[in-house]
Amino acid sequence: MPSNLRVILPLLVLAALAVVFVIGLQGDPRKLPSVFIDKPAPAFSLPELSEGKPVVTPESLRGKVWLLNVFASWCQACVAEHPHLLELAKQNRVELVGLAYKDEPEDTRAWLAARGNPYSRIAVDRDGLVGIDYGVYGVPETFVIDGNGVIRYKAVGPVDEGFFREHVEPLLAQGGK
Amino acid sequence: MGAVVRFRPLALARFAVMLAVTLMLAVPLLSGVAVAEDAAAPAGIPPGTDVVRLHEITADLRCLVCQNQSIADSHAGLAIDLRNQVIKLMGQGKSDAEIKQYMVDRYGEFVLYDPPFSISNGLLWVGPFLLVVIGVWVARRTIAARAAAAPAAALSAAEREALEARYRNATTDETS
Repeated sequence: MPSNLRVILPLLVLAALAVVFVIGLQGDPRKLPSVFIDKPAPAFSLPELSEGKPVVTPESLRGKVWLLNVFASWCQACVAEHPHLLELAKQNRVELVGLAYKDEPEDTRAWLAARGNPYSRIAVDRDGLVGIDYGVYGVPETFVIDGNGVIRYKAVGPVDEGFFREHVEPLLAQGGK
Repeated sequence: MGAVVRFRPLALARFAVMLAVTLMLAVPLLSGVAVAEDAAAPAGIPPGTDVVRLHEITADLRCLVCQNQSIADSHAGLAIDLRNQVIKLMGQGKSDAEIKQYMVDRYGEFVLYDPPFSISNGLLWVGPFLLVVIGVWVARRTIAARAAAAPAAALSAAEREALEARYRNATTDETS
C-alpha cells in the first residue's frame, strides 16, 4: 500500500463516518415511518360526536380525498395546529374528519366550542382502539387518504402551512386517486 | 510475627465451585420472582391472566411514546392500552408470533426489540462480523508484508564480533 494512501484512507473513513452521523442526527427519532403508507385505511365504525348524526366509517368517505386528524382536548400540540385546521376548513377543498382520541365527549365539545370546529365529521374513539389500528402513538397525527381509501401520507405532530401544499395539493391535482 | 496464611488451592477451588452452584441455583429463582412481581404490578390486569407470558411478550415490545422502555415497563397511556390489547389477544388464544405480528402490522418492526433478519436491517446484523473478517484480513496482510520485507539475514562472523564488543562496552559503562 503506498504510504500516502495509508494516511489518506483513515481520514476518508473518518469523513464518511462523520457524514453518516450528521445525516443520522438530522431526523427526529420520535417521527417513525408509518407502515400504512399506500395501504388501505383500516375500517372502523365509530359514533359521531354530535348526537343524532350517523356513525363515521371510512367507506362512507370513498371517492374523495379526506384527512383524518387525530386530536384530543388534553393535547397541547393540538392547540398549536388548530388555526391551520380552521384555515383548511375555510378553504373547504377536502373533507376534514376528526378522531377524538381517548377523550371524554363533553371535554371534546367544550374544547371545540372554545376554539371553533374545523371538522365536517368527528368520530369518537374513547378507548383509543381505532387509534391503535391506525398505529397512532402520539397526538396530533394527520392521515391523508385518497379517493380509493388508501392512506397516502401521515403527519406526526402539528400540521403547518406547508403540510397542505406538499402532501394534499398534489393529490387533488391528480384527481384524488 | 503475624500468622502465615497458607495458600490452599484445593480449598479455594472447592469454595469457588460451591459459590458458582449456589449462584446458578439462586439467580433463576430470584429473577422468576422479580418477573412475577413486575408483571403483576400494573393495575387492571384481569384475574386468570398468565402474567409471566404477558411479561415475556410485552418485554419484547417497545413503548412508542417512551422509546427506551418496553411496554412491560412503561406506564404511558399508550403502553397500557397496548398491554391490554396483548391481554385481549392472549384471551383469544393467539400465539406469541401472532400477537407480535399484530403490533408490527400497526407500528412497524420498530416495536420489536428483537426484529427478524431482513434486507433493510441486514447490515446491522452482519456488519460487526464483516468488520471482524476485514480486520483479520488486513492484519494478516500486514503481518505477511512485514515478514517479506524484513529478511532474517544471519550475521557474519565479523558483524557478530563487532556487536558483542559493543555490548561488552555498554555494560561496562553502566556498571562503572
